[in-house]
Amino acid sequence: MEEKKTKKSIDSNSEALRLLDLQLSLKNESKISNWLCAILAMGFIFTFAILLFVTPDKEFSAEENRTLATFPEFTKETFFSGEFGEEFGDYMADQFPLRNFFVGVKAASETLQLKQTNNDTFINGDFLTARKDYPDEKHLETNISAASVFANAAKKRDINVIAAFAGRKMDVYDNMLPPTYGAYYSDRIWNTLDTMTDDGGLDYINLRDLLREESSKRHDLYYNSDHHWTTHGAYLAYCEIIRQLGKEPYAKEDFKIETVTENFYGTTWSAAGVKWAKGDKIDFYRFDGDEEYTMKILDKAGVFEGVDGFSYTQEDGFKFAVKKGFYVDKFLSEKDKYAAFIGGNFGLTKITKDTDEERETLLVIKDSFSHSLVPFLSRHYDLVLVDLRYYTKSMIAFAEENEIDNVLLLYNMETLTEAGYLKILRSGAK
Amino acid sequence: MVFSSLEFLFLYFAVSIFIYFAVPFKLRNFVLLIVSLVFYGWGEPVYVVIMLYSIVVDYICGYFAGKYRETNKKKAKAAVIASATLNLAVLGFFKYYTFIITNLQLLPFDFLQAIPTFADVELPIGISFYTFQTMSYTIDIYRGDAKVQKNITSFGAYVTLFPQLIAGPIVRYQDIDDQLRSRPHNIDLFASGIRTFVCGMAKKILLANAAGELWDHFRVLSETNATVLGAWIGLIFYAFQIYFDFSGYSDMAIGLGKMMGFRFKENFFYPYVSKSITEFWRRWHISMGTWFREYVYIPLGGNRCAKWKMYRNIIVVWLVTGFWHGASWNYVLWGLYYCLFLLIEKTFLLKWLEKLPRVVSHIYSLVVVLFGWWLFVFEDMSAGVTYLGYMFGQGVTAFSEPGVTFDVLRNIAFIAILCIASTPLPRTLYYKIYQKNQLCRCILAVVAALGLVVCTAYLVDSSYNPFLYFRF
Repeated sequence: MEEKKTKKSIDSNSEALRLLDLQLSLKNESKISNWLCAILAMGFIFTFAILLFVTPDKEFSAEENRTLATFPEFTKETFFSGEFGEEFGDYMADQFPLRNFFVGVKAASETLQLKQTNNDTFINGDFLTARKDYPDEKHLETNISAASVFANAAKKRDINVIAAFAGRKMDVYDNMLPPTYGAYYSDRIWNTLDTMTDDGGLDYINLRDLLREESSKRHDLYYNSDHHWTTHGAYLAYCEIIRQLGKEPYAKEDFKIETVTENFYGTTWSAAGVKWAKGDKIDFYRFDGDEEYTMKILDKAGVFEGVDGFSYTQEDGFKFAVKKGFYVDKFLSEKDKYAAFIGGNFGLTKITKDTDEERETLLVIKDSFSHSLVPFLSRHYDLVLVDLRYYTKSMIAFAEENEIDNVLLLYNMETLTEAGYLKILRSGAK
Repeated sequence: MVFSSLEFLFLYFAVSIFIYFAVPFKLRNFVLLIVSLVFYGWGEPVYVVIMLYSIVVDYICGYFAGKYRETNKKKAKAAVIASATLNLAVLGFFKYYTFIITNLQLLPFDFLQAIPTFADVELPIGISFYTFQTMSYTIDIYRGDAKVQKNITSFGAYVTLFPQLIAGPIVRYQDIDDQLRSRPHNIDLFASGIRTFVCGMAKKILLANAAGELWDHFRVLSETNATVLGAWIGLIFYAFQIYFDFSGYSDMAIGLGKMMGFRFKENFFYPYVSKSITEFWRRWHISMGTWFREYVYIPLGGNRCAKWKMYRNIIVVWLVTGFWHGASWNYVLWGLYYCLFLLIEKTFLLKWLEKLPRVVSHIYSLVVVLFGWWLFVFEDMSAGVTYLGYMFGQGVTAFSEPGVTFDVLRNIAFIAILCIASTPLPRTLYYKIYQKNQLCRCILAVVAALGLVVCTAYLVDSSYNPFLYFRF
């Protein structure tokens, strides 16, 4: 064994050395290609090494919608613990020159390998869908049980609560997913949701089923490039919700559909890295008099200061940004164009009609899916929108103080399973 | 620091290679020593001390081994023993101490419980590689296989040599003795080095990381929703991960070495085409196999002794080999597992295998290797047994589920790439094209550069880039 082993291991090495010698024996014939190889490779490395340290750091990537790692703190402690070295890697990845180009190269390489997904996003032409086989059921449990407690407490106080849960894109458009994948995981989590709502005695409007029925007919209920529903999808949800609230929805003909951009590249597009995929159009459902509404956004940080159409006012000791109408046009020229609907996520947003007539108020406890619903609901109600991530008061107390009779709880499955922040609904709910 | 990272390529490597070629040859070993220490200290600055300790110990031991090898065998031997003891003491403390103490504490003696386990002392990266490498110096001097290196800078450069510092190959001193004194620096070797490096990088980043991510996915999934298909495909992806990861690192090391004029030996030679386990171990981690043969098996008497002694020697070597891979029982079992197959093959199976159709012996080898990886990957052996159960339908929810089936289907092209890349086919094809003409060679140069771009893209947009050898 010993002799054989020696012989063979030398074989592999002599093979490698033979090939190396072969390369080297072609010395004169391969001078040009060797120089080319060295210049291209080293040129690439040196160019980007220099670019990396001369280009200024960015703090935020609009393309990826996240803050980027900046130069790590260098102290004796961070250095000797190895922390500096670790964070330095993140810094280089985030600040790498032409980062977006490289993200695209990786997506292209994955696509060429026929992998059908990249960064857990299904790629079906321009139609991009986030994949999540097993969302967090613990969060769902926390949220649904809190919502049930809240609904029961509200009922005792004669407050009408309507819960409506929307699907993620993979819940509604399973027909756009690979057939082997299908609706298995969606059905699973929605069945779990049903069990939980049954246990809690919570009735809800299943907006997943509603839109799924339409999904084979039209592919534009959700954006191709984003996780949100389109205004068309939102309109269908509105019709169902408003009927549950005992009112007749406005017909589609009552709106004038205006396409405000055709270059919306959303969150799913960013995750998938498929730079070649087409953007979406965003439609506004306009109607006569939709500028005669006033939107007040709780804006402690003053992000709308100096923005066209905004002024500021103090109310209950807080700073509110005030604007006419539901739309913030400046976002249409930025990456996050969906924020054109009511300006994006804020803790508290109030929308009132500029009129003397008495109007009912609807409290909407929501995630961003409700933003494109606002123009529809506003025709029936004055709206108070609360995002529990940023506004953490007791909602029962809030409803009572403001004499609100109707509450809409509107969430999509992604929000319900990604964190348990609906548990705040338990506060004061007895 | 690891090679497959942006900070290596675009900071460390760029700066190091620039300085290296900016200084005259005389200073290059010194530059190598300094940049290698920076390389090592990047993640764990404190452990540079061990590195320096290792240099000093073997510089001195080697010196005495050389001084007395002709005149006073006893003293020379003492130097070798001192080197082995001092190196193994460091390795023993950092790698095996906690394991040994925690196992001893399973015994019902109260005084054992009082011994501190130092469980939170981290293993210095690459310690198993460089202690072995350093020890080979003194032994080679003692045996007369190499000359004493009087220049401590050159010797330090050998010990710390960053290309193979943390994941091999284990370069024996006798193999690069001459190269430390003089080596060629030319564009031909440099370009060849780039090509080897890019090939290794592509193996690590494009193949190993992608396979490893899938293995991780299937393993985690199996903890809650086990399926038969998922368990099998997961382990298969792990087998691909460890091969491409390990051989990728070796290629990167060999490539970097070539750029700086060194010629290291090959470390992997298409192990997955083996038709027996004996053959597999001639092709897998060759530098380690050679090390154990040269410095353990042969000194024990090798096979030139009584038959029972030879069997004893083989068993010892494989016990040590297993244990070298990590301080955990599963690695010991893994070593014995291979020992068993090697002994069976030695006594009769090898002859049979040669007569059998290639397909059969090939499948036999792959199956043995696959279950070897099963032993290797689960340090928690009860988790391993549970996982094995999943592979044979024990405790699973179903044969497969849609996500698993989809993941298998969408990776069919990738699996094909992995299989082809495990054979010598790409290499053969490469050299056919390379030999053709100048234009073809230029195209290959562009391909290599593009490979670097694609690897960079994966590093920029990466969430998954593990380092597998922190247990070694």
